[in-house]
Amino acid sequence: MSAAVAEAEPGFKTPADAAPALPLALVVDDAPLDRRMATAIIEKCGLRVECAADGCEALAAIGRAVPAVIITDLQMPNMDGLQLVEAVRADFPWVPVVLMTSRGSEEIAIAALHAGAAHYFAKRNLKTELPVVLPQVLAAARTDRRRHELLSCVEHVDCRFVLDNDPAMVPLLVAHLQEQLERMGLCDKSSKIRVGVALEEALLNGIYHGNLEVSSVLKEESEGAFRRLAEQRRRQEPYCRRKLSVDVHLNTTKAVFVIHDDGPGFDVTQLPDPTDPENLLKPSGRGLLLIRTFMDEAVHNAAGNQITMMLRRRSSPVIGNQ
Amino acid sequence: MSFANLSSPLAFDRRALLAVADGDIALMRDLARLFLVDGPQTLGRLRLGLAGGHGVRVQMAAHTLAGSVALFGDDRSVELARRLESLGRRNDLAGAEPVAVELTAAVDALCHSLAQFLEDTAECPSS
Repeated sequence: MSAAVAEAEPGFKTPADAAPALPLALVVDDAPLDRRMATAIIEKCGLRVECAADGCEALAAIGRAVPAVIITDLQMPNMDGLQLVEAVRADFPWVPVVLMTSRGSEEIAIAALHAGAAHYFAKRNLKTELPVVLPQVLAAARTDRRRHELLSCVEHVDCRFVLDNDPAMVPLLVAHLQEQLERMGLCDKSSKIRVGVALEEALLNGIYHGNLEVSSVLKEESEGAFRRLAEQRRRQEPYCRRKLSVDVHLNTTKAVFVIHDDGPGFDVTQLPDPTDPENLLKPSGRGLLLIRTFMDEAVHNAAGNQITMMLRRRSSPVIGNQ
Repeated sequence: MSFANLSSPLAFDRRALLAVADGDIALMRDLARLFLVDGPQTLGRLRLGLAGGHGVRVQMAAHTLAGSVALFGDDRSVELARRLESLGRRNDLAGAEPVAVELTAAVDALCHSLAQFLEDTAECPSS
């Protein structure tokens, strides 16, 4: 809470005044009267309260002390409620955000709910609805946080996924693996995206070029023709019987992914050198370039139907061989 | 102190505020003090937005004012602020000036009433 806000809010309790064991709620609203009303109600619910006048002040407050719950207005200067929800979801996904909505903020409220807000209530019903919503949200968040803590204790994971040739499954698997990598500390938020790109490229290569044998030359000529042929082959013998297996081995120091397709393979020596700038814009080499850049190691088997990728844990946010 | 005995013609509904504040007169006094500072400031932002033809600024200031005056049960001010909020959202400020004049008078009257209320309840404990 800024000094200005503290000064303008009679009766505000600073953290030093309050019992340290009480959970902390952060109220975000540019209207001092609404902040004061919300503070009074939340304190009656048995929480400590800190206040911020907009999303920027709220992020600064969260940086000082992560609250158990955030209750925010939507229309605010500098950083509005939607932007705040997005920022909190990105950096503090276990902290629930409750929206205070009012007339004229319906659209932004829906966007904020889609962005990950946990609950909402009409500001005019603050007194009656907040004491009901708050315990619900806190209980749900507590369970979620404990589960998160439990899963962060995982030290070793070995699993295998066996996929049909459905490209729609790829983003789901990638998201699952990214979450697992992040939880085990094998990648951070910035490197997560790069690792995700590498995994997606390898998985799609296995489906399109490995199992379905659709050439990247066709892709260069016509993306539409490439997609149509792939869709056709997904239902044709022998392609439709082929599977993509993904073996995942994670421990606290490294991640190894082995992606194996049932296709005939290819001569890996014939691949264009992905590190040659001449080949940078060729679709046939781009996937491999990204994989080799974003992973610490990436090797094919002799048959050309299996790639093994390795990612080491590192303290630096930069991953790969740049 | 018997709150019901306070009697003066006021621009806000003390009973409505008492209900909102759950009978907490100290909280009511806090809200009144806050509005005496914040209400005119927000009104000033609204007037600036109007003078500069900035619909969004008018909308945001009117939105804040509408929420604040609603706490005091001042229905007329709520209605005026909502009209200005709507005009600001549409960036249609041509007819906004008379509404702003009326709202300014209503907010002045509310501030006067709140100052009176603080005087009447001066002996109540502060939060």
